[in-house]
Amino acid sequence: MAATNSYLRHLMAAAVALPGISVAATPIDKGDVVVDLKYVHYEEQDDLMTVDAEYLTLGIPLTGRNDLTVSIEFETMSGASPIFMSPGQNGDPVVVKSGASITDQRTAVTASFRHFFDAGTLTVAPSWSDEDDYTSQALTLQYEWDTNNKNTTFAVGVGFASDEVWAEGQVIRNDKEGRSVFFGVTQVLNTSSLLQLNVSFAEETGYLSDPYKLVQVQTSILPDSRPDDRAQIAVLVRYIRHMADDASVHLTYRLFNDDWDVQSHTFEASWYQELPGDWTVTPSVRYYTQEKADFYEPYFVAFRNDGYYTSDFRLASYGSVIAGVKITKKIAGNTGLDLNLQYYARRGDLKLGGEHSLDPEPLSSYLVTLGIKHTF
Amino acid sequence: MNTRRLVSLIVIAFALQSAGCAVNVKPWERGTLAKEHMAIEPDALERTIFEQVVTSKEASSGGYAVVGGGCGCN
Repeated sequence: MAATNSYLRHLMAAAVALPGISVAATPIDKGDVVVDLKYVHYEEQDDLMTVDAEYLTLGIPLTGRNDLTVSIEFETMSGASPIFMSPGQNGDPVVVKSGASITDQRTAVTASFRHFFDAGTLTVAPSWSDEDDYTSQALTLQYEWDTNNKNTTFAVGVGFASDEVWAEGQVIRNDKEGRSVFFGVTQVLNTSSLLQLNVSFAEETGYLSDPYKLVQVQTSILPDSRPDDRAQIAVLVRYIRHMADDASVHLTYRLFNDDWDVQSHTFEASWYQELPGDWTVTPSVRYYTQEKADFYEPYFVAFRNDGYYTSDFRLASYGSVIAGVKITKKIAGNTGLDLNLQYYARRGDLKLGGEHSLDPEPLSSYLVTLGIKHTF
Repeated sequence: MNTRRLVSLIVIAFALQSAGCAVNVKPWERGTLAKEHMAIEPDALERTIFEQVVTSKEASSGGYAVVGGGCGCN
């Protein structure tokens, strides 16, 4: 039962893991008062996880050169989750799950202060997140400036996070620290297209294991145990192009690599189609493929010299596909309503090339997002 | 990541920057770029939510900047 909390924590608190990419940033234009509200429902098949969340973002101009955006997030999560895998008949892994459903809640707040200098924009964003078994405090600093008659935009950012994680009922609290650096350049290519290149480096240190997950090593059941340091790099390229008939296409590729031997490729494509009556319809698709961490196995037939073990499928070799459609309607020019439906499938055999991990229980889920945004 | 790949990425970054020097789209030519769906993230809050969900299911994160990007189209 306790394992559920860990799963819950990862489910919606994941942004906390990456310092610098925390709750919502500042999605407002200079000088506007903006209220942005979203309701999210996430549900996995087989009575695993269900999440309901509300996000409220309020953008307020302070003076001509300063503004503040406050983002608040409430989440309620419940369900069951995998704890470890055992060898079944023929050696195929069998998932052992947590039992009855429990409920956890999360509250997160981010305050983004922006200052507009003549030469660029500085954003300072502290954030806090609190759960039954996880707390996080983070700070993000970012500076963004244009050159070349605003045809080139640069962004640099740093993030710091200090987290505490513990298992329900445990007295000991484990510390985890995160640091990240971000560089981005966005280039106008011509009157109808843009290209962006981003690179981010992140390092996490401290307790990076999962306090609720276990592993089977021969006949022993041991705790999930991961290295206390993880260095990551992500490189992302986006291309955005306007098409005929009031449409645009957004294409994204991301390469991710870390020193646990995880490597992944992410491809995203979205088509924004404007329609008469201020409607926009946006179908989108995302494909993801991942190589496993070097200490992942569904179960272990031998002890490892380094003592690292995980059977958390998130660190396995697999692929995933997300397909979705979003409908947006503008009312009176300053109010927008949106509905986004997305379906997610994660399976071992969706991996691109090479060997994939044995996957006794593929995951599928759907995500519904309903939003309203008003600009005063 | 191997060094060769990293070097090629840096070369791409420089190529981007050099290309940038050659581009000079004037403010009055930005009607198309200023459209809402031509923004890097037309809905930043949605991106945040989406990244939270996928990061909780997968081992990768990073690369997206919710702030940042932008083309000076505001």
